[in-house]
Amino acid sequence: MRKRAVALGGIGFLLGASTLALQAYAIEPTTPPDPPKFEAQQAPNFVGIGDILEYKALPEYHEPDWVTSKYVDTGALPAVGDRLPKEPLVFKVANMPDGVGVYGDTMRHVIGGRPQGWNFLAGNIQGWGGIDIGMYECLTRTGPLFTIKADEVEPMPNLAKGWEWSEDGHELTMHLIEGAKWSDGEPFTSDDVMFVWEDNILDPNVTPAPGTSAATFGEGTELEAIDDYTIKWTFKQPFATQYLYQMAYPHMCPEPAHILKEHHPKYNPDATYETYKNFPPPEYMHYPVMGAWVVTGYRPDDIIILRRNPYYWKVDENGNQLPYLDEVIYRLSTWGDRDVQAVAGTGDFSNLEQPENYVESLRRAADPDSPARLAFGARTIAYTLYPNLSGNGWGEPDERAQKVRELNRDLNFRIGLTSAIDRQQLGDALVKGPFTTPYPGGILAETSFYDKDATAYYPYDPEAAKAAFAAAGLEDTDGNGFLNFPEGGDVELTMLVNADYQTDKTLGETIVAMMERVGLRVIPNIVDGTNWNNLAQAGQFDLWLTRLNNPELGTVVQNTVALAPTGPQVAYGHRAGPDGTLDLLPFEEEMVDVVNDFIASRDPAEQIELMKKYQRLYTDNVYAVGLTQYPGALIVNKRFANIPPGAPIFLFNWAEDNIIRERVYVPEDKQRPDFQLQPETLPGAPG
Amino acid sequence: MLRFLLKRILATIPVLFVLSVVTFSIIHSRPGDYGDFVYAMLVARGSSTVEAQRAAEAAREEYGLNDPLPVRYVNWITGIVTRGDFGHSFYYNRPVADVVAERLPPTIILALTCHILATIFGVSLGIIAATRQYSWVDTLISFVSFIGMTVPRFLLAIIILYILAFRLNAQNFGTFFSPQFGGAPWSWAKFVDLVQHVWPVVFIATFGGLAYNMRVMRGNLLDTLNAQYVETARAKGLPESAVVLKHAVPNALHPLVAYQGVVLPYMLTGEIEVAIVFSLATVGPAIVGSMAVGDIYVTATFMLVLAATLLVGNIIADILLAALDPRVRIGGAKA
Repeated sequence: MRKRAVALGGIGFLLGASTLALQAYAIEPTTPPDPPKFEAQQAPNFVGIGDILEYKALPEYHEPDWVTSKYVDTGALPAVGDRLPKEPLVFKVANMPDGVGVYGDTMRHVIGGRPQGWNFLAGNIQGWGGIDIGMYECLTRTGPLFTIKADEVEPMPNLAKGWEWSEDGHELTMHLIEGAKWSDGEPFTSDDVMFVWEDNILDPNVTPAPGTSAATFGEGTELEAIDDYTIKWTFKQPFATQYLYQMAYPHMCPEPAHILKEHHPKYNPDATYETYKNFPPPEYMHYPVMGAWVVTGYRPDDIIILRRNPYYWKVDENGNQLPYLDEVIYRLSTWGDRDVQAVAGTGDFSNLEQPENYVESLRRAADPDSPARLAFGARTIAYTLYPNLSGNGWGEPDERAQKVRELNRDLNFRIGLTSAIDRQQLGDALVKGPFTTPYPGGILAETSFYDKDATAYYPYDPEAAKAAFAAAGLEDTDGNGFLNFPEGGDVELTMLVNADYQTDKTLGETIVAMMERVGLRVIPNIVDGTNWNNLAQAGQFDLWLTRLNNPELGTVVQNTVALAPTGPQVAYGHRAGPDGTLDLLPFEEEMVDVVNDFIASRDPAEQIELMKKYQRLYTDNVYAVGLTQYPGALIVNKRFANIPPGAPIFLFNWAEDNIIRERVYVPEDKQRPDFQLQPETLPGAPG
Repeated sequence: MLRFLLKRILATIPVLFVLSVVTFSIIHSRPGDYGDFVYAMLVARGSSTVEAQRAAEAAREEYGLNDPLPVRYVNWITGIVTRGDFGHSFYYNRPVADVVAERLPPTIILALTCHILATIFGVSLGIIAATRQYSWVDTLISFVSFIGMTVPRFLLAIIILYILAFRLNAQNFGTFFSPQFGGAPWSWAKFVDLVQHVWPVVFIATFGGLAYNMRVMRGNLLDTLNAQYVETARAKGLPESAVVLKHAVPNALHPLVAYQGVVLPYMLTGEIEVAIVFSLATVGPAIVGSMAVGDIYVTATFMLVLAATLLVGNIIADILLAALDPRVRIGGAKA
């Protein structure tokens, strides 16, 4: 009797103990650790859009002295007041980090791209590096939004100075700036905008450089001109505010209709779409632009020179016509050379984004003789591991791959994956120090919509990972150290890695080692960038290691649809099978609903709550395995002033837009007149 | 002689043709094309995947990349033969002929300079080493040349770049000219600027190239110095310098002269890594860069140019050898 009691008690105790033991390894996520602080990282000053700019007429305007003496007094140009629009865009002094600027000096960029022609609308690129950002102004502007308070984020007015929605929300009436002129003196009107819309975006024979199509602004959207300075959008979806973001760079940036029309086949029967695309060629000088600088010099494989636009429609609060910088040059070299030149002081601007270089670059910048300084922004560079969640044939998986897909679709397996990763060690493998921070996935920390309490973080716990894999039905049945499928055979996953970057390769190799520790065999498929993109697009991977430059996880309001599989070809880790359908898991469908609700919502408080819900869904369910997050740094020559603190190298747009280059200046005592290549000259007639 | 030349030139044409087919196929053996480059570039700049895909497809349509490979090859070859049109560069958006014509002259001038310096230094050092065999001079020169031959040139280039940029605060390096001199007319200042920019390339090329010349020269000269006719020359009472320079060296030069022909294509591409590190716009980086982005006609044309220079170089080498060695000149007929 007693024996039975003891036996029963023993069994009960064992059962209890094993339950306890299981619970000890039960996977309970916590919240992620706070990102470490470090001195070189600056936070932005958060303000409202109205604190940065407004549109109003000022009592008097000023320009550089040499412009007055050499051009206005000789009659070559009208007076500055007549060149400006009725109500120019005015940048407020209070928002300028170093106050009102002085005229002069040049910004020396180095780029690795090459100009194919100046017609960005028809598909030719100018070499990137901010040259097209500086030349082509767009209807709205999003770059400087990194410095706007979270509940006031909306696209900034630019060429469109204001807009209102109709009662039913389907019509958006937009007011363009009145009386602004192209850099050759011709008026800027709604004609230029309609030319972009009808003869470039809608025209099926024209593909703008960024791939813009009518669908970029919503299916079935229409645009018409009401008068010279008013246009009206009609959207199928009411209050479709997300399209206002699309009207910024690079999609809605007008080019001079008065020059381009005569080369467009619709208006000129002798022209073809090919001649239209290639007009004007890079040798064509003084192409009229709305931007702050006009191309005045070009030598192939050598340099592009731009000089200030005498008709630029922005001023500072004291009436000084912008830009402050008289000249911007672009050395045509390589991207690698850009970093070297910035550190050496022969280039003025670069982005530092390979963490392996941070320590050496910081050391160099700390030297008082160093010509450049490093400005770290928020941790907006993040690496993620996307499991392929498609079970219905995307990527044509073979038998092994299909079994892996089933595993990927099992929450226990994904929890195992994320718990097997020591994110601190991953970060240290890239760069030791306070730069990196563990990234659980989802919305990036240090951005407006991030909520730490809504983020589930599965900390590094190999025992928990093993328990999770066991719960997914995997065991090491043949004793070789690697887990096996229930039917037999080692579990093998392929991980697609980009060979072009050392950072990617380092992370890939570290992950393979970490997975081995928990018994999972991961085979890295390290291929060159082009191939890597191809395979990822085609779904031919089990795990995809990627650093995404797309803005949605940082900004949320830009490219929001990409946050979830809202369409058959949208998400990165889950696209439609050969039959065109998406086999979404239940939590994915919830994510899609949340994202669509966010897009339809007009209430900022509701949007913030929706994003918390999104973050919960993403991180609880390990939609993707976040790895590490770190900041990029601007390498800026020390002589420049008015660089806003905390400017990221890429968030809503690139740093060349974020820093508001037209407000940047060089104080007089630091100016280097010998850097200017075409001093005291202005652009001439186009041609 | 003329018939010999004509026969050689005519023989190169079928060889060039075969080479063009082979290189065109090899270029396409790697998966992916220029459209993929467009896609990757746009996605990396924040475009949505849908838009990037659209731009990539438009590029493929425009440049005929959806045509099958033989069709593209035939179009390209007929263009060359009938119109002198070497195709279109997608990346530069200009005719390939323009890209090649721009890159060749600076490459050739730079390469010739490096080659001549390497030959002069190498041959001189080889003569010195051979005439002082086993002395400390010989050992030192051999040591230096071994280092020059074995240290990878890109490593030297990166080290020099690092020292210039991070340690010496140098202001003039990378690309051929500083911005002020790029379009300026030639002047002493511009020449000085050019030298300041390209000295690392010339130094590395000379250092690496002289090693080969030195070793070959030394070896051959040692052989000839032991030959009977050299002893005879010495016995005749000629000064040592005349013995060496007039009698021994010309005979020792044969392999180097033959080498001149083969070195021509190497000169065009030889400094690829150094030119990439120092961002010089020469032929080497153009080939590598165009292969990376799928700019197939640029790659194929440069390959053709290289093949042509190799064949031309061989012909030149044969002519030089005939000029140098009377045995070749006369020996065509019965001895």
